[in-house]
Amino acid sequence: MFAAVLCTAILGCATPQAPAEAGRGHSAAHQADEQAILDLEQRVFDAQISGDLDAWLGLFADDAIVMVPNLPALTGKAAIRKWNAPYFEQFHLHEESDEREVEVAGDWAYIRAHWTWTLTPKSGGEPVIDTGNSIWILRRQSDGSWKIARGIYNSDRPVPGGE
Amino acid sequence: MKTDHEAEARALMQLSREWSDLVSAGNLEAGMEFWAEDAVMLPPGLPVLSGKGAIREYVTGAAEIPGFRIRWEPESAHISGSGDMAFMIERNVIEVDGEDGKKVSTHNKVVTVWRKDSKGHWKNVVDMWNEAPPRTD
Repeated sequence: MFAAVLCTAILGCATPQAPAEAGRGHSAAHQADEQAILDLEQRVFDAQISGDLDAWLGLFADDAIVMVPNLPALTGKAAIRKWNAPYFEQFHLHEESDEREVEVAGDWAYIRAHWTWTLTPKSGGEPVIDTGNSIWILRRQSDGSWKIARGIYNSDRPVPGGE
Repeated sequence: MKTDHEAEARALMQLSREWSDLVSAGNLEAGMEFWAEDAVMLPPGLPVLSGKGAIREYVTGAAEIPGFRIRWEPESAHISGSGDMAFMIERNVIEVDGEDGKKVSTHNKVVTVWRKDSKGHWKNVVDMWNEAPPRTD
């Protein structure tokens, strides 16, 4: 439960990208979009590593909605900031992702990934580690860049009372 | 042909409601027609279910849980500029029989991704959810 709630609006990290993930027979423009989305994921990861909440929030659209497990959806940047600020303040954040799938649909796109994150308390103590899946819907901006518009994730940990 | 995105969004939301009606009535086989062959489902606490066969196995197993019933309602649909991809924000409610015989309900937030097939029919390609508090509105 603790880990599931801690699993905040964090995109999977981008380790160096395998070329195969950035385009599967698509046009050069399509492949450029896919790479830009993987680069966005990298910036999310970098902001988490550096603990820069403002830089991290700058990667979200103003009307972004993040669906945190076991809570109402976080609607808008202010709500996303409020929820995540304690984690940026209290933990060193690290995340990795794999099994990524990027699909571009013109003005929006999504990235699906399996994530592994580690939250290490700045005050000391054992890190909290969790894994799970995520989908992030990205919206193309007027300057051609991408921002996070919607996100949902869940944990691999068994659901209480589930299978 | 130019896509009327608002009309397409309304049609897709209606399609999702019809799908919910079928499945909540126990018509699982008809419900399978809404999935693409390469669809993926991402349930909480389980590995990714890749492909219609894995999804069929999962939903068939769920339907065997005593008292199982699922229904859902789309909240918004967003059609791509090209008109052949879409995503929806939805909510679902899953009911099962509790140990005391009373219904136990789980409310979930849902994101689904849809793609038009070669015949122009919308098919679900991604389905993911996590638990939400019950709505009060």
